[in-house]
Amino acid sequence: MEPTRNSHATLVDLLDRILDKGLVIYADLIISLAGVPLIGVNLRAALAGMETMLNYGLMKEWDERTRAWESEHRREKAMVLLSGEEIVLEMLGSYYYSEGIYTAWRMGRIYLTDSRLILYHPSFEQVLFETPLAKIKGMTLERQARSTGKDTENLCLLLEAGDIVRLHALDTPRLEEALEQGLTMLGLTWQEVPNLALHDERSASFPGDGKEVTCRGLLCEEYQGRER
Amino acid sequence: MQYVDKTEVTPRAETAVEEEGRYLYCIADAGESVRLGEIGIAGNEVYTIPYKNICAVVHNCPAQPYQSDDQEIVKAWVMTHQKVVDTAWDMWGTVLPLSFDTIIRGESEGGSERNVQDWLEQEYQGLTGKIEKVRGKAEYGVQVFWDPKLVAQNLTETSPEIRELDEEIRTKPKGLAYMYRQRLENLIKREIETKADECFKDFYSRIRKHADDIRVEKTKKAEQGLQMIMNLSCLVHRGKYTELGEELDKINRTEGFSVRFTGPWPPYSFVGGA
Repeated sequence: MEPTRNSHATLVDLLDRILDKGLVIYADLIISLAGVPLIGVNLRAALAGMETMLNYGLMKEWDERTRAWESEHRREKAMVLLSGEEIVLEMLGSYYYSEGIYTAWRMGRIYLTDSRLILYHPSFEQVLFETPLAKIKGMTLERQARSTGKDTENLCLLLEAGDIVRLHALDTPRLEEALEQGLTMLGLTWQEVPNLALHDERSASFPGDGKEVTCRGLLCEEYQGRER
Repeated sequence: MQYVDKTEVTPRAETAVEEEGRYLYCIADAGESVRLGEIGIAGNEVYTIPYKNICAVVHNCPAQPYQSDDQEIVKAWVMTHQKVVDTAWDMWGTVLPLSFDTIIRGESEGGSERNVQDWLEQEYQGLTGKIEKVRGKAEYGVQVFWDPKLVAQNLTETSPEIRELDEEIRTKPKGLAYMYRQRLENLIKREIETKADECFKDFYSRIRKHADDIRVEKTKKAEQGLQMIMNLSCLVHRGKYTELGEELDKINRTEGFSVRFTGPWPPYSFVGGA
């Protein structure tokens, strides 16, 4: 089959490209292009109803689904694995990031491979966290009460350098189980470290009975049984 | 049919403070300063602004977007834009095309020419990276259509569930038959979507092998009762589309399916994004 580029029969194909695509300049030095999409729509409408951007009827949902499938497909490819490395388990998850006074749960996909544990953000194509399995020296499953009344489970890891990492996954116990299996298979040893969970818990919990919180500027402090 | 750009050179405003701009056609893989003649939109002279081994293909214009209610004029502008990009593409082999009506303004000292140079300098790494990615390559459009009536008919013959329901309808009284028909239509719709899904995945994996990169575009409304089930932009070495063409031939020969194969286009779909 030979491709065609006859200026009449493929005008719409050209317009699709020339009006919606091309190199994007993120700069203040570009003049406002507010009128441009309008030009595109008008021009297309004029082309004997060859298409309307919003009307694809029966296939709409399906089209979105297949395109989602495709982009998911691409993303999975986008994470670079080492040669011979295989993914053992993959699930949505997050990890507790803290740097100075900034703390946040960072969301992404957790990949457990036969040599690493990785948290990857597919849209940003960024590795948020990774560690070789060999560097995991301890782990524990911590249970934390949530304000919703449901308990949530986090996986705390103690790394070789003494860092503590807290992960949460869609199915955290399953992740822990798979990780334990992985470490065992590699002949690695680790410790169950129950007191990991106590570390830096204050900011995440509600005050208990007889406690109250006072605020002074941005600092919150808890006082035990303080009476007014 | 030819679209001839008969529009006049945009008249300059009389005021001295009129801000100047540079209309950008594309970034080319050459560090040359060249005049390409009066081939630009509205007959403007097109030339290049070089930085190191790349250059911007531009013309001088007021810092206002080209706008018109007259579709013929806009059509002529768009075709002219494309012709300039094509000219640069033929000349230097690799270009990063910009979309229609991208104009760099000239507020800073030294005006918009300076701004273009500064921008090329700032973005140099990203631009050369993109040039490497599309070097010597072209974009080909692949659209796969099918005839939904034919597919539905085939499904009625092959799916036992549908055939059963179809036969049951004949035995039902009118009112009930109507409801049954609704059920049948839903069932067929679902089956068609499943089938479209399968075809998409099958064709996608077959086409993917013959392209360096692929973008999946939204499907569009088609004519003559056909339905577009797949709309792709494929990045392929310019002129080396034989294998892709053969694969498309196979799909095109499958009963009920047809393929549109367009190009070569400058790689519009592969230069966007950060």
